[in-house]
Amino acid sequence: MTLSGWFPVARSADLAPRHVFQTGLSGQEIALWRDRDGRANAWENRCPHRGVRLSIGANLGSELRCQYHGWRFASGTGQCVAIPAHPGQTPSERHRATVYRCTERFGLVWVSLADEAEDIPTLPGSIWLPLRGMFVEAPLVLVERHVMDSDEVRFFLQPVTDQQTVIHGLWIGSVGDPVALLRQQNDALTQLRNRIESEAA
Amino acid sequence: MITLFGTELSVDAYRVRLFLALLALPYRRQESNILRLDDDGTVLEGSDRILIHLAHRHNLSGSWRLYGSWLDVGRDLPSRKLFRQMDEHLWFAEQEGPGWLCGGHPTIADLACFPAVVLSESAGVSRLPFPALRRWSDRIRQLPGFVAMPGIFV
Repeated sequence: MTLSGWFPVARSADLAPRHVFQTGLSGQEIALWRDRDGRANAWENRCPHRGVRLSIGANLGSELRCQYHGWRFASGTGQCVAIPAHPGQTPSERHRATVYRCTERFGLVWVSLADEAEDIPTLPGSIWLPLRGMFVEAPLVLVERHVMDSDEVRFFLQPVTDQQTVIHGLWIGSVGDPVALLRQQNDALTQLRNRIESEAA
Repeated sequence: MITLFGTELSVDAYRVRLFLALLALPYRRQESNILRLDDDGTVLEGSDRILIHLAHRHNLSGSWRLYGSWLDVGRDLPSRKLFRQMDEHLWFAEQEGPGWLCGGHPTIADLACFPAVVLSESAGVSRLPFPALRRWSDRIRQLPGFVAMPGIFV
């Protein structure tokens, strides 16, 4: 089990083009989106204008457009670049989405809510297969007690809220048929989730 | 000529309006509290029956016809338990293909489930725990001919 300032929040492959992925970390909702150059953004899921969730907005490729009044925010900086109601006006520096540190490693997207964070853990080998994230309705401390690493798989936990945790698994063993392996590991994690949730209830 | 009897705000009528739009079929709409479709004299009630009828009569390639057990699921949505099953099903559908509920194409199964999924927040069911379900609803929004209903953002 590895815990640090960086937490996995999604599988890299699940950040689809033109999509805005909704997730959370320690009670903070996050809008994750990949721009057309492949860069992943992790922003507070809240438009700085009227507080609407950015995850219902549109990923335009290099900007995210809020659904409510159409304000557009630039990939990377989160700076507002256009306000449709005031087309001639340059948006103020204050009109900026809250941007979190975000990076990708081992096929997972990692986010740190703090400016300073320890390094992301290292892993042996060079081939990692990220498993389907397993969403558990239980606090991190309870999930931690049930999840055990092995020679073939390492687990990282994402505390979404104080009552919800996602188990992210990285397969580091040998892979024959990847989809069959993903199904088998998903079945095992589903059983684990059911045990944890019945304990949490 | 196709006439659709229904109300603008009904989820059932929206399923049918969406399918008619995706099939690019012209139709007239008449206000009515009971959902009914008159297709050149063939009269049907109930959105499931109407979707099946349209898929058989007007979708000559047949790609929309499959639905498996998803029409039953669509009737019971939104529910966290069913969303969990759908999210898992769709995640694996994405690993093995384009990520529709029944095989390699969008079908009436997807249309039957779509409105209740995207309206789930107003029924108190968050979609944050179901990322594959959110990607799937984006794919439906991006289908050529897609029309929105009040309360569903395009």
